Amino acid sequence: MSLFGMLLNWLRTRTGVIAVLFFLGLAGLVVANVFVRPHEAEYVFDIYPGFWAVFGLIGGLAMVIIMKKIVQPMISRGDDYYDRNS
Amino acid sequence: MIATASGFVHPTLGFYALALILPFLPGKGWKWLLLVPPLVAIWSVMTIEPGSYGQVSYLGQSLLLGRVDKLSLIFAQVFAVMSLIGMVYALHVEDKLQHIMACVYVGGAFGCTFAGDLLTLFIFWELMSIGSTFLIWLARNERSTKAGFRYFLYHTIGGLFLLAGLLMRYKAVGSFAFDHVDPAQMMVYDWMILLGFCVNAAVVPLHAWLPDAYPEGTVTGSVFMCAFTTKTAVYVLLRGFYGVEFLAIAGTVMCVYGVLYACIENNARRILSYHIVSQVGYMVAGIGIGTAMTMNGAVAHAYAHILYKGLLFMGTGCLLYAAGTTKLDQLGGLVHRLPWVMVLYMVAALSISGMPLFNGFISKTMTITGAAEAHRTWLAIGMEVAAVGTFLSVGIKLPYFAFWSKPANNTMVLKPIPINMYIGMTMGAVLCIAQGLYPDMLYRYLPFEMEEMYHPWTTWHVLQALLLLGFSGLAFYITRDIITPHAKTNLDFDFFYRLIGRGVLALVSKPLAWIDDRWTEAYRVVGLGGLLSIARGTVWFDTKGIDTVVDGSAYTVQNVGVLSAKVQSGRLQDYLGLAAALALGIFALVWYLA
Amino acid sequence: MTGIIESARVLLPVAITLVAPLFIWLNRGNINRREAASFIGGGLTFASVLSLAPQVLAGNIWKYTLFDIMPGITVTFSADGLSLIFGLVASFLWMFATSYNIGYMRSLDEHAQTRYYVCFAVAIFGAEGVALSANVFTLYLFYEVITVFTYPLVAHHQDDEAFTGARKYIVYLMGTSKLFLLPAMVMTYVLLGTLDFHLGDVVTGMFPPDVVAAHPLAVTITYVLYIAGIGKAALMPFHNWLPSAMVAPTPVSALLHAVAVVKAGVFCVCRIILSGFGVTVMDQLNLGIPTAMVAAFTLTAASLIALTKDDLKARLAYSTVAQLSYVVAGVAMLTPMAVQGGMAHIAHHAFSKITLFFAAGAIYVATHLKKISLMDGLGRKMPWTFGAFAIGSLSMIGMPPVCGFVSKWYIVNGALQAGQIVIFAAFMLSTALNAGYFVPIIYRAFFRPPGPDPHYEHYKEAPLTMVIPLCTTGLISVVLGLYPALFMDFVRVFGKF
Repeated sequence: MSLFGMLLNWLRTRTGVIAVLFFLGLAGLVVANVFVRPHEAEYVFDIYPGFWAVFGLIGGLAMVIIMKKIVQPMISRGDDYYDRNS
Repeated sequence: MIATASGFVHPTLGFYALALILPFLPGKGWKWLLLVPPLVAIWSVMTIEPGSYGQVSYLGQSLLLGRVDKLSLIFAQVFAVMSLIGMVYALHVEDKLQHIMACVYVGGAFGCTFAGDLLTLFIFWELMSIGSTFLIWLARNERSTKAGFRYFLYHTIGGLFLLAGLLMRYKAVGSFAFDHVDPAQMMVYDWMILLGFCVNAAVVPLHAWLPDAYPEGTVTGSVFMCAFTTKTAVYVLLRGFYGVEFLAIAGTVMCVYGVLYACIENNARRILSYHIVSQVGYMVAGIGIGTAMTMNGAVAHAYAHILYKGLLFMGTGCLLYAAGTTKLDQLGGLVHRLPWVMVLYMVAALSISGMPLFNGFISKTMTITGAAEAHRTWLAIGMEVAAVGTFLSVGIKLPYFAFWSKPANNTMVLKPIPINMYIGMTMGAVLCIAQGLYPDMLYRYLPFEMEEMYHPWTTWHVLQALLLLGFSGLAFYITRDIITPHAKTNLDFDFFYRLIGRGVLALVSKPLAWIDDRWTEAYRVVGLGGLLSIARGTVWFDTKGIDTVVDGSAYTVQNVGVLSAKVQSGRLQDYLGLAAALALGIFALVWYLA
Repeated sequence: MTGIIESARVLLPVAITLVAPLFIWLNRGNINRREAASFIGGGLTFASVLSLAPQVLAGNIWKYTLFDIMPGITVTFSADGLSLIFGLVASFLWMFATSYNIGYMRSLDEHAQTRYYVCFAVAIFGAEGVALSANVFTLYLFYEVITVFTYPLVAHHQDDEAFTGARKYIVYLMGTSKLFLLPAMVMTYVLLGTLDFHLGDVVTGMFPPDVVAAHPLAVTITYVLYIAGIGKAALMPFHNWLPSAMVAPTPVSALLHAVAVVKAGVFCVCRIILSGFGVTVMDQLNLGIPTAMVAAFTLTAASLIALTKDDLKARLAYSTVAQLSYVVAGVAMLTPMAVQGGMAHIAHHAFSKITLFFAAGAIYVATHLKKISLMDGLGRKMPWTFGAFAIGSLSMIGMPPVCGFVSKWYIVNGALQAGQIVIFAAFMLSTALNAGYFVPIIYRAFFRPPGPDPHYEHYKEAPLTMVIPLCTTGLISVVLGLYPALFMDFVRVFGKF
């Protein structure tokens, strides 16, 4: 295993720290959004701070939950579904 | 047949020449020749001046093989660069046929790009289809064999739409010229040509061949395929059909459809295949909207996409090569054993997601901004939604489950990855980052004139991207147990294509064959019976009526009582006799009556 | 202006092929000399046909009358563009077929080889005679010669299966020619007093306008009888003899049922439509499009049926039925491009189809396998054979750069010229169907693991005398695709209007 690999393994043990850093970063971005805004709204809600944060979060959650919990059970079949037929 | 007028070395020449001589080269040294056609292509593309080159005569038509202008040049440029990266990546492959077919395929792509008329385009379109089919078959397993056949059949039908359209167009307007069609005046044949292009561009619902076939290609073959087929289709759409409203809508549908499926897929290469559908959707939508900015965005996106998608496939190709599978439920915990694969993959993953510093950021945002500025709000929102999904599935889900998610896996056997694969990936990664940092590298080649230059590196653009991606990441973090992939097949439109195939066989072919088998026995009743009656008739006529007119030679040839037995005997002499009898009999009859 | 050259030179091909069987028979004691007689015969015939080419390409027509039988009925030979297409193809491919025959017959140690080679040569005699006929009588004469002398070839194996197949073969062909073609010839004579084709252009036929105006129904009936009577063109419903004739040894299937017999059939159809009736009369009486429709139906139905056949030769037979209808449909649509495409297809299809049948025979000689489902993985053992088969298939499908694409291109363009969308759609569909039934053969041979066959490891390529011809004809198919002028020049010299 290479040096780099060992470094990555070490990082895996520190997931808690990484998560905290991540949340801090997100908070910082939202704060920055209060001050940095687009000059003209490309969409109606652009102007509001935090719009894109909400968009990303809700969009992502909706996508995963709807697809995995609702759609996939409807359209999924066994892994070898087609191999048996054609 | 291919002329090189005034110093334009058509890139296709190099690839086809290599394909022709490769079978005859002995020993080991031939591998270095693989790098020659891409290098020649890069040199040729960077040095040529726009113009028309290479007029040949074929089938009574004048074909233009080298239409060189800004649009074809930028596509040819990225094709040439990608062909070099792909060949470097494939240097370790011993199977010569894979290289030959890759050359046929890539050469065909260049042929399509520089084609000045529809007939040339069609010829190279079909050659690309043949080359890519073999890249799938050469994986040499049960699944790839069937997938390759479905792919070939599907693309043949797509090609037929193109052929029908261009022929009908020729009949209507008298030429094969391949230029922009005014969206307001599209005729049936224009729609058919568009349909043929849309098959290769994987427009929903004609897209299912992509996730069906690309995962089954060879490790190196899929790297080529992801770059060329769909981008050639994007090029021809740009050339001929910008501003067609249908494309704007279809493109946005593709954007979202692709990422939705990618969220639930298990096979890494299938996820990437759905992503091709999604990313090409950005381009198709940009073409459909038709403003200079969106079309430049489409071109820039195509350029960047080829680089980062190639890198994504190279990364997963390494996984396939090393671990033997790309199914995410079977991978995981491998980051410490394949660290550089992970890093190089992440470069591409961040590019595709539009993270600042990488080339996706400078291309994707151009399209979206262009859409918004053209007041296509819903389309722009659709694209942003797709951006969320892209980061979720390709940016996080795929690498997370491939490299992390499980405890460190030290037991899985991993084949060592040859150095050339790393070199190929590095080349791609370097370009992704370089273009991200210096967008002008790409922007200076964009073909369409815009009123004001687009500047991706503004504070707002960066912040917006980081917000979007950051919070999508948060969404992943929250749902990371729900999004775990399971080994399942998700039904897509190919369910219907297969149904059609089986339906034709059952409802049309088999009944026809049954009828034919019955009819083929009817000859005994109809044929022999008929001959028999006529034979008897001529005998009667002969004895009663004709002997006064014709010399009695008819008598000497046949015999009443034996005649019926002779007809059924199948003996040659009898047929000859019968023939003479009938001939003379009928001749005499008509002569007598006329 | 079309000049007529009266010269006995046009008799040469017929004379050589008449004499060749004699030499073959005379050398029956020494098999190598016997085969050499076939080769030399083929070479000389090809050379003699080729020698007629320069004048024909310049726009002249050779002619020579051999016998006068009755006023208006003669045995006369002529050579124009159409004649040379068929004549060149038949004689050229005879040489390849001879090499192939040697490999096939000797590997399988077949019986009655002298009879085989003699009948083969006489069949070519018939084919050249058909190609060089100047009137209906000569055409009919040689048409029947082909039927009669291919019968022993079809029945060669002399077992029950062979006799059954051969009987069906001869009943169909003799039946259609006696019931329909003969009366058609008679009616032509009665209406016109002559049986001579109108050579020189394809617009005017044998039937002058006053005859057509006075007896439109009789002329129409004559036409229908002609088309029904040319059973060798395998138009439905008279096509079943073709799959049944597959009981013949494969070289017979290859040369005769992919080249000589069936090409004689479509040649006759071309001759009747273009030199017999002419474009003007065909248009006047609306005979063209119904014929093209029958052909379109045949090509679609045959392609659909081919999907269900597991026997390789049966699948190829139905493919031939369909491809012959390409020619008929092309010529019957009566537009310049369609007619030219149909005529070109006579030659292009011949080269591609013979490659396919040669390959089928090579497979049989090397492995004794006939069923496609048993041929998985065989491509790895016989790469040259299956490679040539792949090229032939691409030509059938109509992919560039193989020659089938060129003729299909012309015909399909012509269909649009004629405004025939249904026929156009039939050709498009047929392309997809061709892909559907040819491509599996190839990918299964190369990319599937072999089935449970104990002999698999021992399989290898058939003898070189078989493999070289099939690779060569495959190569020629590609060359013709890149340089279609080779046959298109003859096509244009004959079919310009």
